[in-house]
Amino acid sequence: MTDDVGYLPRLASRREFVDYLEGHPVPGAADVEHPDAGRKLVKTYMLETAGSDRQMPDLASRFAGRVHLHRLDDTLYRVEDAGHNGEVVGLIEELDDRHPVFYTKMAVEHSDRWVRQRVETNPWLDRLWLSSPILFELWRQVQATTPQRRYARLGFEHEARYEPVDGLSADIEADAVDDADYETPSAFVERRRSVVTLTERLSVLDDKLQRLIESYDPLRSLVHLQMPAAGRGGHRLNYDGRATNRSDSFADHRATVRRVLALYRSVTEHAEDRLWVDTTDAGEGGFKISGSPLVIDFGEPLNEPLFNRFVDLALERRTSRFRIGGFVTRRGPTKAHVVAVDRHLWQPFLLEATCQHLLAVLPHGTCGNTVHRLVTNVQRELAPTAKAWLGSEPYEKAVADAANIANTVA
Amino acid sequence: MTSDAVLSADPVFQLNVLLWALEDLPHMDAVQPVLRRAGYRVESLGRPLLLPADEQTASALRTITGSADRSPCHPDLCVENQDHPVTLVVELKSRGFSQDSSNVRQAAKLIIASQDLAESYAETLPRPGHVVYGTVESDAARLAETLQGLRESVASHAMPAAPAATVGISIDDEGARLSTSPGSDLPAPAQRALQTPAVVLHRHGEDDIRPLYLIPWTPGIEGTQDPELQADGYRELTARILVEAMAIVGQATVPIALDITGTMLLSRATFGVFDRWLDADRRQFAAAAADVLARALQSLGGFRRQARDTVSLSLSSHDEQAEAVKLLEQARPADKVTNLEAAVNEAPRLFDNL
Repeated sequence: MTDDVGYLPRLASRREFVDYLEGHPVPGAADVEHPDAGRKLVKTYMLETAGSDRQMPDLASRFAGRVHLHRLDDTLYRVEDAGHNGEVVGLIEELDDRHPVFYTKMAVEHSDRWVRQRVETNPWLDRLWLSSPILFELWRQVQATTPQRRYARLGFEHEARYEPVDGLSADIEADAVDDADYETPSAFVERRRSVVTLTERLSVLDDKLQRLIESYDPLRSLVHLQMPAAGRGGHRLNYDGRATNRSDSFADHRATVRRVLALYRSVTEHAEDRLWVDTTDAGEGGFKISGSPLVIDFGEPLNEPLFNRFVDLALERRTSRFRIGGFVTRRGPTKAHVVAVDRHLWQPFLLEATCQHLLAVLPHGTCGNTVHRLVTNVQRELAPTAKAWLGSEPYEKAVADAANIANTVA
Repeated sequence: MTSDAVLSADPVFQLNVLLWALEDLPHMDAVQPVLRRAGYRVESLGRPLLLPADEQTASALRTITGSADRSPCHPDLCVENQDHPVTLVVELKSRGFSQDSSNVRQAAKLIIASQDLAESYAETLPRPGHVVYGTVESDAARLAETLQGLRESVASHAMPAAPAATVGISIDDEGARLSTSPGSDLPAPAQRALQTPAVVLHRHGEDDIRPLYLIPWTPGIEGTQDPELQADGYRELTARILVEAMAIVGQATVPIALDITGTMLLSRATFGVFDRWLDADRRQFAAAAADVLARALQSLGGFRRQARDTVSLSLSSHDEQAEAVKLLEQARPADKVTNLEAAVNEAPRLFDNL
């Protein structure tokens, strides 16, 4: 049973774990992996601790309950879960003080569920949301630093989830899952869904990709990128912060994750500096107000039925994938104001939704992750041509500038 | 829906139109930050402006306003331009006023204080100001005449008077506009930006033109606003209070005992602006905010009203935490029986003595 899930051995030090994850023989690990099971890939889940300037529980407390973090050194913890009979489900490393990462060899259906449960029940944890502009910036770095003969893999995905479908009620459709065996109301639904994966030499991608993107909008929604490793293989980054090591080196994988985190942190903190609305004193009774709104322009305006479904399903439903709660006030056929709360991190913000844009006002302290999550979900599920701005600054420029800063610091 | 004429005269709408005209935004159809693009930024809201402590000022004030009171005046906005030395000292009025109006006192003070704002900013170099009154477009020209008359009265006391102008606020088929009045002498960047009436908020079909309100409420506005707009202001503030409470409850690590004050909720709900309200307003609204919370959560086992503006909440499990959030989500901010409007208007009760 344990072989199927992919637990780690109960090793006692960083060195032993690194050796094990590199695939070297480690005494005490022999009984964990079934010799016929094949080496399971290391998955790394990059996490955001949501609100770096706030007082929050220490890392071990954030994983309280049935999960126990056993400290191995200053930044590395062995993670044992009573729900898994006390087995070692993975390791957590504080790669920086804001972004812990979870390394695991559990099969992806187990590891995804484990992380989802931790994140959904904990307002102090979120995943990283690698928006398309962030993944495109990493792709640009790959192009600039990798020999043309190497292969890269890019995955694009857009599903028009809120597109109205005749005869299908919103209730049924909200989170419908394709079922391969049974006739369900959603089985006959036709709507726009694009999943495109390209694995190609860099030389070819350099030549063709931009033209492809310009001719087909869903290719603006980049959701995964496999960055070539220093040696063989690569590191596959997913939009939801999961990175899979498909290379021959755990150390190279960890270094890649660290690089992604540096970029992410830089752009997140820049977004927070720019967006947070706050007031400070200006003489007795007077005050200054600082901060800028986040604007996400859809590019093509949403038609009225689509806008209404978006408001119904994404903004008014407690079960929304956008995880936005609060109070919606309709301001006309294609306009709504939301006194919103991020139902995951429980951070309030104001939101205006129209058929043309989302405009969010974030109070001081709102985690910048909310920005990346909104941008990612809008591009994946609503408008692949959407563009975002931090005030008047294009989000893409903020990402590019943040990359320069992150590279300089590194 | 509120008529355009009523909306354009609404002080909360006027303030927020100005703020969006000064906002840091990309090029987008819905909102045009016409003053921001002319180089202007909000320097402050409600900043106290000092009047000179000399006899000439006292004499001028006594003659023009009937009182030598030189207590600071607080314009709605001070607006700076990165490329122009003149600070706009902006005051918004629902309607224009004549020289017989009680508004003259404030206007005269602004004209005297804004001639040089250096003392008010504790700066060493001169900081010239330009008084700008914003009001409904139909009253802007007459108000400009009133201001000109006031400037002449100030000058007749051998006192330097700051220049003064008006900006009209109007709503038409295209949207909400700012415009200068004929013969206006606004500083050059503002004049250029507004000489052709500039649309700040574009109208889109049947949609309500109101933007997100950065400042949803102004203390003391009760009774002066259109009833429908005032009710909407109470609804908005109630919703923000409830959402702030959700945030506090949602972020709590159970088991926990939370003390939530109305002050805390309103401060967070207004980006801290509430902290600058006058004491009496703060006390009244803080208690009302606690009332709103109490009405939403009273069925919860761990709920207790601790003091006039404080509720305490004991959450022993995730289920109780989820139940508290659910109750807050089920509250109805627009319900005049349970929202902030009801709480503010309610007579003092037993808890007032706590």
